[in-house]
Amino acid sequence: MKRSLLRLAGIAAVAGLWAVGAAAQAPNFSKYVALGDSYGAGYGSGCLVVREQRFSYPAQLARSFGITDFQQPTVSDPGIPTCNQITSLTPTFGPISKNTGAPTNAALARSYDNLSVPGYKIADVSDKTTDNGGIADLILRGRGTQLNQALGLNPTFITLGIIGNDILTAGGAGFLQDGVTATPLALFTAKYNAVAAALKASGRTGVFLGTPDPRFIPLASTIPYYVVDPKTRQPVRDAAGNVIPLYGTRDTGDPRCKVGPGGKVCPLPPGTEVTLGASAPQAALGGKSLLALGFGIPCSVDATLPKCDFGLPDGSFTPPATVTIGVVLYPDEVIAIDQRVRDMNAVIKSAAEANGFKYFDFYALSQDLIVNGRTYAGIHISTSFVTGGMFAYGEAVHMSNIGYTILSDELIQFINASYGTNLERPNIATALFTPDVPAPGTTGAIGPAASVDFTEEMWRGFFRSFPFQEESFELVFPAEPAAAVERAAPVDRSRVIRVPRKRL
Amino acid sequence: MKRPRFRLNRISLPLALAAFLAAVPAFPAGFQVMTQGAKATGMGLAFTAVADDPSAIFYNPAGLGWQKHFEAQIGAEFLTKVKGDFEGSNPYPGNGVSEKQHSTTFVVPNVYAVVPLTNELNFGLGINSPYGLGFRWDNPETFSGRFVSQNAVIQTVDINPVFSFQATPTFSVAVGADYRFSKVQLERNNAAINPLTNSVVDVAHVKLNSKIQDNHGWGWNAGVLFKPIPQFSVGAAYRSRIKIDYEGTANFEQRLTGTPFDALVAPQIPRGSHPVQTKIEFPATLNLGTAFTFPGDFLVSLEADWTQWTSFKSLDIHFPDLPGRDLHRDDEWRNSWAYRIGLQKKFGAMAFRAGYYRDKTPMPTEDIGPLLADNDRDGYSLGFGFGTDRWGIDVSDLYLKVHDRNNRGHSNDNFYGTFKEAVNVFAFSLRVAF
Repeated sequence: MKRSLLRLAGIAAVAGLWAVGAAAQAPNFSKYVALGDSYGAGYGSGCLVVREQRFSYPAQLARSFGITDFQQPTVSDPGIPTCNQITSLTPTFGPISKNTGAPTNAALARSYDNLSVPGYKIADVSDKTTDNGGIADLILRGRGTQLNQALGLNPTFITLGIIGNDILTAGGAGFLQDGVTATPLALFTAKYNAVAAALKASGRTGVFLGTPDPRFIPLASTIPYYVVDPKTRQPVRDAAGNVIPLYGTRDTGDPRCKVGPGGKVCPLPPGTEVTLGASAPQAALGGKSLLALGFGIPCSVDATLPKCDFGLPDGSFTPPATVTIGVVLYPDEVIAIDQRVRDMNAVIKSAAEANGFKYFDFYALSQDLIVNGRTYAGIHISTSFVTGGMFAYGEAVHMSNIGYTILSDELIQFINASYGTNLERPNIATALFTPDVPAPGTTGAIGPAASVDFTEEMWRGFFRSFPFQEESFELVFPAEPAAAVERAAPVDRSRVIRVPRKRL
Repeated sequence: MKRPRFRLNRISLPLALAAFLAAVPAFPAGFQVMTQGAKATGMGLAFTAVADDPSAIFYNPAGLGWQKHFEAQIGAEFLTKVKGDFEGSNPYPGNGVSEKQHSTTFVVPNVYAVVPLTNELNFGLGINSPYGLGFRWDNPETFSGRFVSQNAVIQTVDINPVFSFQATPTFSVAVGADYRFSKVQLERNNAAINPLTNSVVDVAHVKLNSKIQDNHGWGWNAGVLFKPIPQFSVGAAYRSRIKIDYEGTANFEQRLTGTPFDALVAPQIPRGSHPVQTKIEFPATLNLGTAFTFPGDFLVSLEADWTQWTSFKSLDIHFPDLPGRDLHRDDEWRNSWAYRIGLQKKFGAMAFRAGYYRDKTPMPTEDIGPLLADNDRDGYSLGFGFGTDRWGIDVSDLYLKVHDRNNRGHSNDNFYGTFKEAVNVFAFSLRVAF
């Protein structure tokens, strides 16, 4: 009997300790502040607009936390910059209006709870106070850096979601080069650790989001490395039934390499990623895209294409400040970018754990979403551009309202699992069935555009969302063969496109 | 002169089966329907060790060993879904969403005949519907689970010949065959993302259907009943699995959105009729019962029923001429038990009955959804009988309360909420002995 009583007392003591421990770890959601980039801002169709901002993961987390006064830098239709839309099912894309929207919460007398700024790298979080009238100023409003404003709000729970601007530019530009398309890992590590340490505080918990697999974004995953019939969207095959690789300009040593009219071209090896830039009509190409002109396509497939047997251009950097945008990521580049993402995620995970925060593995989630998508009661959502539903019609990088709700749902399930909480999951049905179209009364609406597949403006928009390491870089987009093949020649200034400033 | 022969030809067979299919059960444990006689229904279906009327052909054919006259029994059960509600929760279809199942009354007839061949050997023939499903949702075009199922129907008709042999005055054994006709029907809409709005729209309606006379399978059944003394009996009955391979048609109709998207979708919808195949393996069952008759003609019957629902592993739908459209759905059902108690008190020619049972669901929480949502249920029954050795009438009523079931965090369909169901079964039987 005595032994039984002792055993009961022991069980009770352990249970009590467990209860105390659980209570000590339970997060306090009363004041939530989000630090981050475009994904945190709810930047979808190439813009900030309130009909998409309300689906940002910070906004959805706040609703799940029961916070009723979560403030965001909301913008009215047609958005800032002007949102993109799909204007026909060819598909064609274009802006939804000739106008831009206006801030609708600029008079808030304190900092926003969602301080996420599109385009932000980790260094910007702690260092940047203005972008001279750009989108950062719309959000920061001269009140200090993102980090300082966040600390000033004295949050009990934070999310830090710098998920790609330090590396994903490499995916869009077609090459990885520290200081040009990627933040050097040492600098990233130092900055991330400093931000994490600054956020650490007694009683404060939160989640740091990792970086997704670059292949997650449609910009890099939509166009295969082989020739596709533009009408049927099915692979073109040779007599043996094999797919026919597109040509690139890099000498891969493949015995099928040949000298074409623009120089040596080689079949793209399996594992190569071709960006949507290859299908973006360009003014410099007479309003046609590289693929439409025949770049990358063997003349044996279609000899009528004016640029058949020319290679799809690779990206490069010419010192001191010229970036030539490519549309091809060779397998070694894909592997290098992927390794850098993994290294960055290791830094983020380490910083989170060292400072009392949780690490959310967005990389694993993105791979899961690539393979499985998500199905809700028979409604399947995939990462396929245009038809999959997970991505918006911006630069083929940002998620749609549906995609951001899926991300929010995963984050909430992660928080519940990590902290033993029982937070309400978001309502995905709202995102699934709410048309993402301009609000009634939106002025300056534009009808169907003439561009096909992916516009030059959307392509440029990518580099606004994922800027290069220096704003002073000049970008040269793939243009006429003369420029493509005479890469060593002085840059033709008439074809240099400066990165447009973010508009307000 | 040649005697006309009754032939189940292509016209008469469907008509004969349709007489039973006009009434299709809707709310089984899993999709099993045990209410196949008014007397048994009044006693909470604890009838395996009683089996003293012609419905013994279904409950325990060994009971025919003590039935020494030619007897016929007809009856019907009126099954009404008195409650079929769903309350949604996040993430899909969302908090505040309410749905209702279609409520109607199904009539399930049954016919039994017992023919003594010798003093020990009896022949029996039963026709009934021991499995069925009717899971149909109101407002099917707006129902939030319409992309999984709007309407699911399984219908069966069993023809069950049996022979019983009373080896001793206290022991009887029986064996029989089950020839099962069946049809399935499934309806749902297909969804797609409308690129013009980046939101979900209905783009097609699919209806799968099969004909009852074209799909059938064989099984067997057996039973034993031991009555060492008149006041005590113990019995067991077994029915084998029956596998049916279905062939039918699938009809696809495009749902128009009134936008240019319709033209893009049209080539991808195989409009019209296409062959479709599926299969169902109906479970084996084992019923174990014992009954005591106390002084004053007070009968207490106890029973435990086991159903081998692990036979229902998946739902596979194959479209032979539509590559890539096959459907596969895992259904990790468990074997289940039901525990029953039945009471009967006789006053001369009158009998008053009552019963209760707890039926454990075979469906794991993950599997419940728009196609079928089952749960443990409690059955409460009352019954009344009046008759003699030559004739009898029985009526009963069974109220089946299905426990509310919430699948929060566990739904293979990603369709979350609370399912609430209740069913009422009114049964009657008429029995005549010659």
